[in-house]
Amino acid sequence: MKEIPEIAQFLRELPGFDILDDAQIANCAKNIDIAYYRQGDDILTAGSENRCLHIIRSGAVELRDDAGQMMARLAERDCFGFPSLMRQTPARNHSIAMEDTLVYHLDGTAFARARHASVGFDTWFIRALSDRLTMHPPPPTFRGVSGQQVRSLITRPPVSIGMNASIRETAQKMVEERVSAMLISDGTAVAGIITDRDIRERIVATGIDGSHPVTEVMTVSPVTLDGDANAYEAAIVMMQSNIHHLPVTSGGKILGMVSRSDFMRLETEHPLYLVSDIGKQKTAAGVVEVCRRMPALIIGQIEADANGELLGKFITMITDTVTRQLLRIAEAEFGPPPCDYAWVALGSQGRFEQSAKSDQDNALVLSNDAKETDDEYFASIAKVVNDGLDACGYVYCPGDVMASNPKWRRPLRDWKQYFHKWITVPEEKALMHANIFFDLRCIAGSSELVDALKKSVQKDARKNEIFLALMAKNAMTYQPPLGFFRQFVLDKSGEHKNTLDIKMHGIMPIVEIARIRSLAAGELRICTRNRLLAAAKAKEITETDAANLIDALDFIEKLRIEHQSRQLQAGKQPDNHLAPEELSPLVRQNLKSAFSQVRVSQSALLNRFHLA
Amino acid sequence: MNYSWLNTRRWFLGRRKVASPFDALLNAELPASAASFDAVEFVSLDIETTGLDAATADMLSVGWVLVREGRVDLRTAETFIVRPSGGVGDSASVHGLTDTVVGTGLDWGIALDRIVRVLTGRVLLVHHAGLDKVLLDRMCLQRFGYRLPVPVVDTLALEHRRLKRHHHLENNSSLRLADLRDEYGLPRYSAHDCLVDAIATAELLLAIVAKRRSTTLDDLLG
Repeated sequence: MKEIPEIAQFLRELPGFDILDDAQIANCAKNIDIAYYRQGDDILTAGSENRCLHIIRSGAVELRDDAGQMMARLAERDCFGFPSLMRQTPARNHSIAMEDTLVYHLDGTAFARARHASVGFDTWFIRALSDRLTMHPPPPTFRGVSGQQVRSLITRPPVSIGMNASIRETAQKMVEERVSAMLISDGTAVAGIITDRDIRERIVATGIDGSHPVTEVMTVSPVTLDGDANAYEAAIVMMQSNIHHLPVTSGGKILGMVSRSDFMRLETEHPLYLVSDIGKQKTAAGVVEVCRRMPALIIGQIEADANGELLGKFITMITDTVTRQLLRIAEAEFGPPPCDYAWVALGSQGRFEQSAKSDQDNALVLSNDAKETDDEYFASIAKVVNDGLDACGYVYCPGDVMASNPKWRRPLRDWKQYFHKWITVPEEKALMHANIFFDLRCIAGSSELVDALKKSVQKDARKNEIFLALMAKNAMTYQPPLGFFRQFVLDKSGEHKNTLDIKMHGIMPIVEIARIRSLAAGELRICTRNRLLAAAKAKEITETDAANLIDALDFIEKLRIEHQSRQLQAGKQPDNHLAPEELSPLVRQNLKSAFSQVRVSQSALLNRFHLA
Repeated sequence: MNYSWLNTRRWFLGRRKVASPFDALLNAELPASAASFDAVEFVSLDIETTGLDAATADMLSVGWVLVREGRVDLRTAETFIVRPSGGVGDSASVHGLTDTVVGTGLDWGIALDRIVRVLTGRVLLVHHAGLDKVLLDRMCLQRFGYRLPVPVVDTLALEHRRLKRHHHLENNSSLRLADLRDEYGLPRYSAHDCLVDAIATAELLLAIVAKRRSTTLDDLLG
């Protein structure tokens, strides 16, 4: 096989490929086949398998989603098909030739090899992937803005810089002003625009010196829209041109800028709308129906760059609302409760740390006044709530830790007894229960019951070193893998073959360390992050250790969010199983650091209880 | 050349004793003339020569790429320089190949063997067969005693026929590769590299075929 200068030269000038060295380019060039599509031909159909990166050599291609809505219009030198290739999923969009189009198909294996060989190339495509995924415009998003003028969306005066500014000055001003796009003004009118993405692609990737004038790299005469235009039109323009920032003008003068996140703020699908809609439902079926909007909302939050902590709170807030509304519906059906009770959330809901895939753990703490005969009532409402939550996607707890289980529907004195026994006579099953039940939080009913329970538990736990030591030992069950992916603890069989359970091996160890450390410090805080901070304050762990663990948790949760977002976007059930191929070398490196931090903290925990 | 006559001639020649790899070429089965475009493998090939007269010119370099399953497969791209019997002559100015460079090239017989091998069981695709095919015939005659008995698709002839059929052929119609590619909206490539020309010709064939409703090998043959 010979070098083909014409092809190599073309590749070398492509965004992303410009980072590759000559040998890598040559390797790509010789793994291409060329196809010609007539105007109107389908290139990839949604749901079909895709084995190559499509590079448009000449012509034009439109991407449309399943419903036929146009997602992007691509031209010469644009790539498509990489999301399905990188995520190893069927193609999500239809791609249709809008003109006669010549397409270079870069073999998927060669593409993977280039990603492996060059971190820069890989990073470029990972970013492009997230851009491509976030361009997903959920159809109902813009319902609420259609009546408004685009000028009403502008939130601040325009941030611009003069034509003679250097690249570095422009970037510095962007940092100061905390904006992701900057207008370049010739005094009155918009001369150009530069965005975070441009800085990545045109400056960092090409190595242009920061002292060059910004006019060299800006997008000249960007698409603008008149302030009187309909806000809906602005949304369309941004989608069609595949841009995230749109300067708004009036009579040639800059009014300001609108971005995609401005629409997010105004959309009808804001979480608050969902919460209020849940509150309006009179039947469990109605609640279930409203909850169907959850995946789109979660995607929206992820697009708005929610971190793991915020997303956990956001999802938990909705679960809490659903739980309360189901309880209200049940009380409306079965009448007022015969005695005081508290509906308690356990596990991740208790900790405000739910993810897109969470099952339900809950219990009922009844007043000590509860009579034997009252149980029938509480069994009925527990069934309504547990069934309702399951139908909403919070599947039944596999360990049957739910209020519908008579064992977990008891008066306060029984609960105190349970905890006392778990703490003083710890055995394996007790430790498992303790893990779930220590993360308890009152969702509805009488919070005094829960407070009373917590107080007694806190006392029992703190003075019981043996119990804590056993908890610590138990917390070693799942260890984060240390060696790299070759030695990663991958599931060996079944549906999740060759994947890493990132919850089990990444998140749970941190949650457990935090729980034990805060118990040892006599603190019965709820969120993992708060527990770590409280433990550090009580000198149970060092401040550095706490900060490092929180960082590790942030990072691992972010990976999980991104993974689950990809699954939601693909219309799949989210899970915690990461495939090694999903991660770029850079991400793997970071994950490795996060894991080793967790291992260090686990060892420290063992030492603390003289178990090492 | 008529396709069944080509087959007859190959059968006839195949019974004689001929040198390798020409014998394999003769004995390989040709695709059926009714085969669809996607089912046929083409060798898109371009030759650079020492002159424009096919009767006297020598091969200077050759490049080819396969078209199979309806796509140009760059994994199969090949090109090399050939050492002609005479000097480079006038064409050095055109191709940028000097005697020194050419001196490092392959012996023309070895080059021809490679071409024969890649053509075995496949269809030759060229732009303007009048030059390249005549030259290959002459070389085969000299080395193996017979002309090159392969089916030929000529994009220039195809376009010439199409324009004539639609009475669009005018005196100033250009059938040059680059101009035809322009018409089909194909990108411009740098000229005078035989591999790039071979790829360019292959893409032009894809474009021509895409414009037709359905295409068989027979539709493309002369």
